[in-house]
Amino acid sequence: MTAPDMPQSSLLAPKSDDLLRVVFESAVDFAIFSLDPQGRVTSWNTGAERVLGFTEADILGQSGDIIFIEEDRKAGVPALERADARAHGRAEDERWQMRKDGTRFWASGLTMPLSDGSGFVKILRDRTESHRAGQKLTENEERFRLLATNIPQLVFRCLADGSRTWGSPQWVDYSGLDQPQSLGLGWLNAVHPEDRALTLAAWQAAANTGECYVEHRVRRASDDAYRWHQTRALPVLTAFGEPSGDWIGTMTDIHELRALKDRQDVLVAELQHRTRNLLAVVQSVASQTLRSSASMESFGAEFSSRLRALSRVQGLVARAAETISLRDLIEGELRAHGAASRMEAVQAEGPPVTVPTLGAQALGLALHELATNAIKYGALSQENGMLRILWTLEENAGERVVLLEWREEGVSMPADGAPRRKGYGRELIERALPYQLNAKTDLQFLDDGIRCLIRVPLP
Amino acid sequence: MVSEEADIFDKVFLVVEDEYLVAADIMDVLGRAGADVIGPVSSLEGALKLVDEAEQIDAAVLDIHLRGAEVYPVADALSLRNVPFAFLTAYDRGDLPERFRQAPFLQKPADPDELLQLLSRL
Repeated sequence: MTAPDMPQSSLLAPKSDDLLRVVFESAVDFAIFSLDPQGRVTSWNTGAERVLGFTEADILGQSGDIIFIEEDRKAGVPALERADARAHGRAEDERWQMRKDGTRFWASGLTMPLSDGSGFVKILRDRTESHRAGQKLTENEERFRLLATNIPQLVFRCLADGSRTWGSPQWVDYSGLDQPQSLGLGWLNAVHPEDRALTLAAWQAAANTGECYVEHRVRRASDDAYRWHQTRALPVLTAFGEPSGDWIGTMTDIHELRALKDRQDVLVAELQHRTRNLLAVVQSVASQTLRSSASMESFGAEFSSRLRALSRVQGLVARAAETISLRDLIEGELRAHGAASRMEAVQAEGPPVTVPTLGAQALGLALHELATNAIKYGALSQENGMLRILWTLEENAGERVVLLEWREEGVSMPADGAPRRKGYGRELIERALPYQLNAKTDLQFLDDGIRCLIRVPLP
Repeated sequence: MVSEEADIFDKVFLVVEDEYLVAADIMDVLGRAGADVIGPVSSLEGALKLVDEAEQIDAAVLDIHLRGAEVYPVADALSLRNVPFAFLTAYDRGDLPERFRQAPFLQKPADPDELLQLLSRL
């Protein structure tokens, strides 16, 4: 196929002046113009009209200084720029320039002297958008810097293997390791030697999980104390969601939190221990009650009554640390039986005394048995009966002893000697209290009621 | 049960337990099976003294937590005398020192039959 009608294309091969003119005019994003040695405009392309708003007619023969902002004009920048171009063959700069309508734009400019000495050519490009973006980036960086250097956490940047590229000033202050000392894996020197392997393992795992998490002890330079820190780091993503290769992380002091958690663990373990011990005691009370019960009915009544006594003691023990008040223990027991007994016949008196919680359970159960028997057979079961519970605190030779007397009077004792049988109360008084509290006890069956003496040495 | 009871009949057991009511239960179990008891004893010192002085101890039942002390020195002393023992405790097995992790162990509250079986295997 031929194209015989096509002329020898002058359009495709213009003369070189024409070619320049085409380039000059079609570079619509570039303001291209020339100035005479005094700075007057001698040519003005379409791009210049677009970028600066002046038409060729407006500006030809006028001073090109008009496109500079007022401050620069006053400072003599246009002349300086030309002098600079003359001296160095080119002058490049970025600055605010002004359009015909007075608005400003950020321009990157290049001024070159024309080789024939007839002036200068200047090329300007509107860079406002990228300038703003750059400024925004600077602002963002400043915001990051403010955040990273002012939050209470130690902040760092690193690579995916934990190799550090930057540590915040707080890190430097806290660890005493300056930037060069912290770079790479230098920061690891501030981690407790026992936690270093764990820390490195966390960074190895981070490559797969995309997150680094580790709790480790970090040395505080001010007092050489190792304090627990929680370190977390995440990869920094680019605007396109791709990993940038940069990681950013924080180290948070969790020392107090950790101590609280440890204490909580101890308390939970202690609670479990106490609960199992208590259940073992409940089991013992059940089996001992079962052995002395004639029927399931009597077992049920007695067991539940003893359980409640145990529960009252627990209530006191739970609120106390090492000791509980003897008065609380006695009055709690009496109150529990109040509705079923003649409380006006009871006198309970003594000074404030505390007994070790270790023995409170046995003592509470013993008092419970005494009270139950008083209501069933003793002073509180008969019209003329009286119950006196008196306690004193004796101190001699540095030893403190509580002397408790349980005395029932005005009781006509049963002829069959029922209460003298070796019952649960008697076992508690004669065996459990000496065993548990190192107490000396004496249980007497007198003609007008029982008398029980309990002597408890205090630690 | 009969054969197991026979296993500990007339054997002498040391009972270390700081809670009287629990000790009473253990003594019941041992007594019903025809075993004899040394103790019960509630303190570490008391238990060490008994291990040191007793002429015959065939086996022992040890609570671990004894009023602020732990029973392990007693277990060590028994081991030296080649006396078998079982822990009866509110602890978890994992709380025990490594050297006792495999020792016969029963958690409170224990089933009396299970306790008897454990003791008869010592």
